[in-house]
Amino acid sequence: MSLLWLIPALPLAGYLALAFGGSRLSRAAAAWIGVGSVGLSALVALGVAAQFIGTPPAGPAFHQTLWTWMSVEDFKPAIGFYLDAMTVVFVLVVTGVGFLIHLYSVEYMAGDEGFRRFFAYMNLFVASMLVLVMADNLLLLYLGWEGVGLCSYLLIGFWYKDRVNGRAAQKAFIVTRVGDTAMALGLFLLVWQFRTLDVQQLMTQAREQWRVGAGMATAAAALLLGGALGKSAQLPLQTWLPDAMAGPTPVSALIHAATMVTAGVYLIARTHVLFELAPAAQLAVAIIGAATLLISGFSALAQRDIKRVLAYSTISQIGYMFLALGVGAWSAAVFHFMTHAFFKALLFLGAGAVILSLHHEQDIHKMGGLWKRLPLTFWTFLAGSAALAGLPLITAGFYSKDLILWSAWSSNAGGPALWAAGLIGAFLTALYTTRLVCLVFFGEEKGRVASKPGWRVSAPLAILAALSIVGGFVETPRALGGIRWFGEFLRSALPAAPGVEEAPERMESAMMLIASAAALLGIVLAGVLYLGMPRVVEGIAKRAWGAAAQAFWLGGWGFDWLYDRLFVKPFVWAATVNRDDFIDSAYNGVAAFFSLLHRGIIRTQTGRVRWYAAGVALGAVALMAIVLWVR
Amino acid sequence: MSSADWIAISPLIAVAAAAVVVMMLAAFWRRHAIVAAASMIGLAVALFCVLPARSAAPRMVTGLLAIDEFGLFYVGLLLKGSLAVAAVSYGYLRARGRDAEEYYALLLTATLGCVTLAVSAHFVSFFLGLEILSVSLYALIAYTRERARSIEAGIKYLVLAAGSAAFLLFGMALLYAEYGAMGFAPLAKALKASGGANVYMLAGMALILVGAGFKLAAAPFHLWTPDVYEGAPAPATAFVAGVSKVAMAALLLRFLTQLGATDSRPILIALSALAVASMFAGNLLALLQRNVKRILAYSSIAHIGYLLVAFIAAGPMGAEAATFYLAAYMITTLIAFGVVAALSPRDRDADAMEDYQGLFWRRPWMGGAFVAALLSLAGIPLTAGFIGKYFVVASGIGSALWALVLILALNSAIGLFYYLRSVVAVYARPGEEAKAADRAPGFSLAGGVALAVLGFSLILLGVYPAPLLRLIQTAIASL
Amino acid sequence: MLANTFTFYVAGLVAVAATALAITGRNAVHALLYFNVSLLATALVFFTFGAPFIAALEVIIYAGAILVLFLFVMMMLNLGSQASEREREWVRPRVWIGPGILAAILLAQLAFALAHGAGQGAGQASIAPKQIALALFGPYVVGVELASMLLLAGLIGAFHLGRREAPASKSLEKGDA
Repeated sequence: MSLLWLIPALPLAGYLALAFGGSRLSRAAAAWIGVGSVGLSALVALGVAAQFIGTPPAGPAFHQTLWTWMSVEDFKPAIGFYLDAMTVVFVLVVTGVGFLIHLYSVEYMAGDEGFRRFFAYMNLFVASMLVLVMADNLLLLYLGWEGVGLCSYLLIGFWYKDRVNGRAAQKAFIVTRVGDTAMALGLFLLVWQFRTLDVQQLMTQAREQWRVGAGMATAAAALLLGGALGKSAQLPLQTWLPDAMAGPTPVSALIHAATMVTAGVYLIARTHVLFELAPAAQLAVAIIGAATLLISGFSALAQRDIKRVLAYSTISQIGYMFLALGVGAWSAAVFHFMTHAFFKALLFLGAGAVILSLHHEQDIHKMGGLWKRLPLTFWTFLAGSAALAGLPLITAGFYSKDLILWSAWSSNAGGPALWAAGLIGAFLTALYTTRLVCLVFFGEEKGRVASKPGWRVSAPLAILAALSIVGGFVETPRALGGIRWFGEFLRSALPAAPGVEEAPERMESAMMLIASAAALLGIVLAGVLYLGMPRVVEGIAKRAWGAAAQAFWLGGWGFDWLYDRLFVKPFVWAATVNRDDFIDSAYNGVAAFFSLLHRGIIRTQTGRVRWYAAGVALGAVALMAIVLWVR
Repeated sequence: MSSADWIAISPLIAVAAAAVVVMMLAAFWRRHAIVAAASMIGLAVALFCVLPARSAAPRMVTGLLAIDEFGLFYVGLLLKGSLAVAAVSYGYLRARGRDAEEYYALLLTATLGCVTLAVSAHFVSFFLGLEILSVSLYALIAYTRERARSIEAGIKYLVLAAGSAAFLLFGMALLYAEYGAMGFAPLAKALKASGGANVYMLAGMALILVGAGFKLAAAPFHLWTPDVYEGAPAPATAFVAGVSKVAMAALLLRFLTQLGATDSRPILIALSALAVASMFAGNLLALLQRNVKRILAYSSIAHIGYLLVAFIAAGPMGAEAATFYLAAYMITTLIAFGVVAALSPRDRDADAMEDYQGLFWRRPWMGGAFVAALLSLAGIPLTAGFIGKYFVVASGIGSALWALVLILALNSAIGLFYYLRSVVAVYARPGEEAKAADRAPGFSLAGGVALAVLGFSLILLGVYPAPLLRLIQTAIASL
Repeated sequence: MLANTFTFYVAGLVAVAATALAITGRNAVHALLYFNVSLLATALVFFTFGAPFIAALEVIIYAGAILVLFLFVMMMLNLGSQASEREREWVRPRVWIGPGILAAILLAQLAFALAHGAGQGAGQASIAPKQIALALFGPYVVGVELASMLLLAGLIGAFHLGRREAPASKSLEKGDA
């Protein structure tokens, strides 16, 4: 446990080595540093997790305070780490999946001129993410939060020579900033109320001092939710994520699918006490999650770019996590986070392999018939898709999604409406996932496969595929063995959803069957439509309403259009009108004032000793006068 | 004097002995490298002597020197600073070629003056320490005598320092005339017995503040600073700015604390006036300056202003803040002037902004160190300067000095302008000319190591200040 | 007592006047003469304070040794074609009459003071050399040592700054070795 600090320190050291080593490092050395630091970190994380499970700490968590940065009365920000069961899950996923993606990147980025820069940013990202999930106080958490945001910005705009990428990076940064501002206000509110930065103390005090439904609790929870919405790309701040696909594909896999975008889920789960005290905010979480998963599910259906399909699917899956959080099924959300990290990273990496072998072709309509050419990619992609679609019984995604749907139905905070939204979402997920697989891997060959992936691409794919299948057998419904390992492991950190355990088993089985049926229906329908009767699809697309719906969904329900009209255009207009910035003139005035003072006072520097001596003498007189006069 | 006395003042003896040894070496064996190494070894030995001296502390040696945790903390700090200056000087003087040997003897005597000030508890040692320092500095400032500027700076410093020493002496005389004591502790006792401040005491204190203010370059006694900083060879400037001021501040801290002057309203108001004047004068003068050495000179004036805020803040909190601030300030200043020294060509000092254009792209490490120093001066987080300024502000708020803290904040904002402008220059793309002239003639391995250690300390103190703070707390507790 | 006070004030006035004239004087030798008188006046002030030993040191070291050395150096530096002309200028009464008058005042003062039994200190006993020695090598021994280091610093500095620029001698040294 005393090695805890090494987990974030190793990637940070890797970043520093890469950043300062610069071009002196060979590519091989950069790869070794970049991958090795995260790999070592993953090993340490495994050891720490094993110890955590083997000899659990006395309380709910292990605490390591490295040092106190400064100490002034109540303000004592420490560099300290907090490791409870939830953190263990997050740390394992971040380092494990992070390591696989780093390994994959060695091959994926092999020809890129920014090879070292890429690994430097990636290492910094992993370090920041680990700081974020391991922080024991708000300041450190915020440092990690902004750190991952910075890395996300840097990596989306990684190929900065193309203006489009730079714009996408800016969009991501600005949109998430809206949420971050809310979150910062929330953090200030908490610190102001409780005079401490320590997260656990805050939660304890909040539970003691605020009653359920208190206005202050609702405000704090709502502000934190704002931050979570931005980072996790939920309604109404979801628009940045599809554009974030401008970054290299491993970045999309690691940051914009597996880890960073789930930081919002982490934040809400970490502060679940607040949300329990604020039912209104919690209900908002559930409703936003449900709405997001539906809207982005429809959008995914219409996308043409393979990465955008996956991006909308990510938004939708995080919607599920929010739905789970909203109904109080905290551990179900973390469960889905874990399985989603496996299969979504897999899908992105598989998509990357496809894109790479087709000379950076991303349009799925220009793909097809790849299953023969890229067998390993195909089979692993298939496994990931099955998990995403929630193929019953054999995939991890099925178990985690089923748990969320069941919680949405049976939890005291849930209800039929939320459940129905989740069910429709499950159907949609199956539909667009199968569509994607059909268009990319089946049908006639349209592109030429230029290269086949090497072992560094294949190995992560295979490992993640295996995890996407077996990763769900740690928590199953009662009808299927009733394994409760995951939930019980997290119980020390996160309470059970109220009412879920008490609900009858027969109901649970029935719900499971309905959910399975929805998923299977989606898979079969898409298979029939896109493999058997492509004409029908084209026919629908040609109809006026079909084309309109497609365009509407392709553009992500017109949010970009709306925001463009609502915020961007007026802002640009205001900026144009205020070209000479009347506020700026005040600042210019201040600057001019001080430079005037400067010009006045600089005359005292004459360079003449007699004047300087006179200055000393006058100063002495003045000082004497002050002292004797004040007396 | 008992054997414990000898152990207690062994750091001072070591420095004095080193000065004599170096002078003899220079007389018989004019080899720059050997003389430089000997002086660095001498300083290291003196630094080592601080450990046995600590075991002998606290102890008054003959009523003149107070060897306590506070004094020894500053002795250690000053010796480290002096060691860094010696290391940086080597490359600088080597690039200039000849007559480098006396420099080290002067550096050592100047260091002796500094450490004497740090442990002085008596007017006699106060004045003698100050004069040893001043006399050595006259020669160090004028050391590159082939340059008219250097000679001019030396003469200016000579005339003005001698003048200000007269004020100081007169102040001491007034206190002695009134209370019949010259030791700080007897003086404090007599002061208490006489029932508080009277005209002689206040006038004497004001005059002593004039002398101390001159050495610290507090406004309005600051006018010499830019000219002297600019004219003096860069390593000597580093010593004047980084080391000698710390010594003077340490003495002032001890003097004011022991005499309980921080409880006297007129003295506090006088100090506040100095602080406010220094902050504004320093920052406003630096605003549009293009000469890097002058910018650093003006900036140091402003920093003395910030420091005085901590002096004014009552209690151990203020003294701790001041001490941390001084440590951070010394490290930062030494880095900045160390880089200037390393970049200086043979015939002049690298003091034009153009010399730093694109430094980061030409010499990333040196550029990085310079930027780190500038950011620390500006008080940006993760540097020692930030923590220092933070403590000063916290101590000011703790004593409810709202006006001073507000002025400090305003001045920090003004200061950002010229610090960041320098940072921008360092990161700008180097012009072709600068590329062609890409040399660091004053760079040496010793100087590089010193800069690296200083830079590392700068960041370390910004991230992990706790150990130093503990040390400072024990030091202040002994005051 | 009264004699003492009287002597003190007059000597002090002479010191101030002489110093002012020394500062404002444009002729270096002229200024040095005034300065010398100022030092003598200071010595007399010390005398009235009951510090005859310091007064003697003041006269011997400052007025006697240092300033006379200054004067000699200054005169020697001016050796040259117009030197004799300038020296004739210096011995004109206009130059020495001022310092002479002030010095005469001081002499009269001294005589007056001695005649009235002054020098017994303004209120306190006069301090003998032995007491000074005991103080210097007793409680103030560290101060004496520090003063010696101060002189060393001054010596080294003066040596370096005053050294004649001799680029050739360096190569000569090498040649010899």
